[in-house]
Amino acid sequence: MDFLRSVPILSDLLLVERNGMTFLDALPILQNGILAGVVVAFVSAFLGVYVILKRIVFVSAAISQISSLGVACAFLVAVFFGHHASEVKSQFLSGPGLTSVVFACVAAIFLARQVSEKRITRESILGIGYLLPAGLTLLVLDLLSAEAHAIEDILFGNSVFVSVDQLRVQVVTAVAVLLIHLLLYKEFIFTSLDPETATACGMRTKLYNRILLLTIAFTISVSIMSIGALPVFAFMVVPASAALTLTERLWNAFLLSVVFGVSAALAGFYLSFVFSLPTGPAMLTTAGFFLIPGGLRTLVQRWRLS
Amino acid sequence: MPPLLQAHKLSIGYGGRPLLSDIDLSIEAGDWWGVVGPNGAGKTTLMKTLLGIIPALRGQIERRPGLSFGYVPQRGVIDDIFPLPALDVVVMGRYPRIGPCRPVTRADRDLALRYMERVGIAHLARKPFRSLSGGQKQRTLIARGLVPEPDVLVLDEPTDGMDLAGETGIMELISDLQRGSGRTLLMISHSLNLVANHAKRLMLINGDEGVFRTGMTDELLNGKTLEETYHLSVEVHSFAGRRFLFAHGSKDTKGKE
Repeated sequence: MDFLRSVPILSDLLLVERNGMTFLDALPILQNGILAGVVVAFVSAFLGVYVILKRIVFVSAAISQISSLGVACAFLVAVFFGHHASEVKSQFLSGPGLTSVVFACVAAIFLARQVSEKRITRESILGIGYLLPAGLTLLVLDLLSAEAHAIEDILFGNSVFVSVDQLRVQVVTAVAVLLIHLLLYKEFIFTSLDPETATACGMRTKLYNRILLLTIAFTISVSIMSIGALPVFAFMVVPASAALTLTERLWNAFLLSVVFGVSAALAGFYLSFVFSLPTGPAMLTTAGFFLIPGGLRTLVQRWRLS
Repeated sequence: MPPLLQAHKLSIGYGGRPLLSDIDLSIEAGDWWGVVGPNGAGKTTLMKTLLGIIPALRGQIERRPGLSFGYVPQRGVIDDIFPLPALDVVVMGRYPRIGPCRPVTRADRDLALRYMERVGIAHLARKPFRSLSGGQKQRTLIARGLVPEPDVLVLDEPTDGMDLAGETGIMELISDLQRGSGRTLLMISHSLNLVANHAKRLMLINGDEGVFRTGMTDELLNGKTLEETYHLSVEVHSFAGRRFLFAHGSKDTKGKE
């Protein structure tokens, strides 16, 4: 800590005071939240490249809503059998956490199916998959008004105070997801770029598509309980969009997306402390700044062409 | 030698609705097939069924054990949002051979480069695929189709939307590749004139009319079969060793529009 105080610019940043406490002094309290934010940003920004390339932004939005409905349903069932919200919350991993993951994974498997029906489009199904669970979740919250605060705490996350258990689950999920992606990188890219050719060449396209969506669903359902649905969705979409406007190499896009995501998480967390802002929206807004270089690059390219 | 692929009483279509039924087909090693017919006739559906991309509604497809396919889709199916150099697109053709959880080796990349050289685009290896012209993209996809060194190469409308120079260049390339390797080729095309001068065998398809005919190009390219398939009066002429086809308008305008 003394070393940090001796680094010129860093010490100025760390010693900013808020409500009689410097950021450096608050670090022991905030460290789990910061680590969870960084881990979520890292893995979500990585997966976000697939989300953008496969044009499935609204699949991730629908999965996060269905995952939230899983949490709400766990509370509804528990309260129906006479349990109190605090009991349900304390058995998080076997209760709402589990239902959230199960709901998200079932949704991912369903959404991985290709829709061939002409009367209803994929967009319509995704819209229904987003709106219906959102409405049902609000109804459950209304029904369980006494437990609403406990449910909202899980649904919308609390980026500042994250339990050690939750952080552990987050890290294990991130490592497992990234390992799967490292091992099946070729398969995910080929089946995402050109599923028909991949199938014709003998690849198990449907299986790889399902695995890819399951990793996204698993990450979303675990992450929204750490930092909330809005920042998770933002980390899935914004850093990858920013990265893809800046490079012509796929690996660079993954790398830039992760750098943007982690930077936005750290800067957003810091700014939320300094200016007493809500952490999730602060991280989201910070991520938005990374869209500026890509936007400028596009403008310059258009100007050169005209 | 047994055929590479045989179809018996095959029924093809989407969503349980048959487009064409009772297809019997046998594809031998070294054949060059042209697959022709009007728009919506079922050409692509048949090829996708033979490749296993979509399931057959009924009937059987027997493939020789270990039979491998290379597929060259219409270039428009590749989404330009992917930031990939042309070489990376070509190397993808090797992925099924490499297998899951194994890295791409230098040998795989060298082989991809050799095929890029073979189709005349080695100098574009590092260029983003999305920045290439239509003809260059098509050559990239042909190289990708060849790089797994498949027994059968299926090309879906390889000259679609190209100008005369692009069309001629691609057809010369495909002819060279077939002559050089003896590989079995199946080429879907709208252009009867192109197919007539390159393919040795034809599949004439019109799902609406239940037409499915196969045979040698010389035998099938006549006014009667073409009229049956296209509902047009078509004349076939030969000049300087090349075939020229001329259409003379619809035979049954009533009820066809």
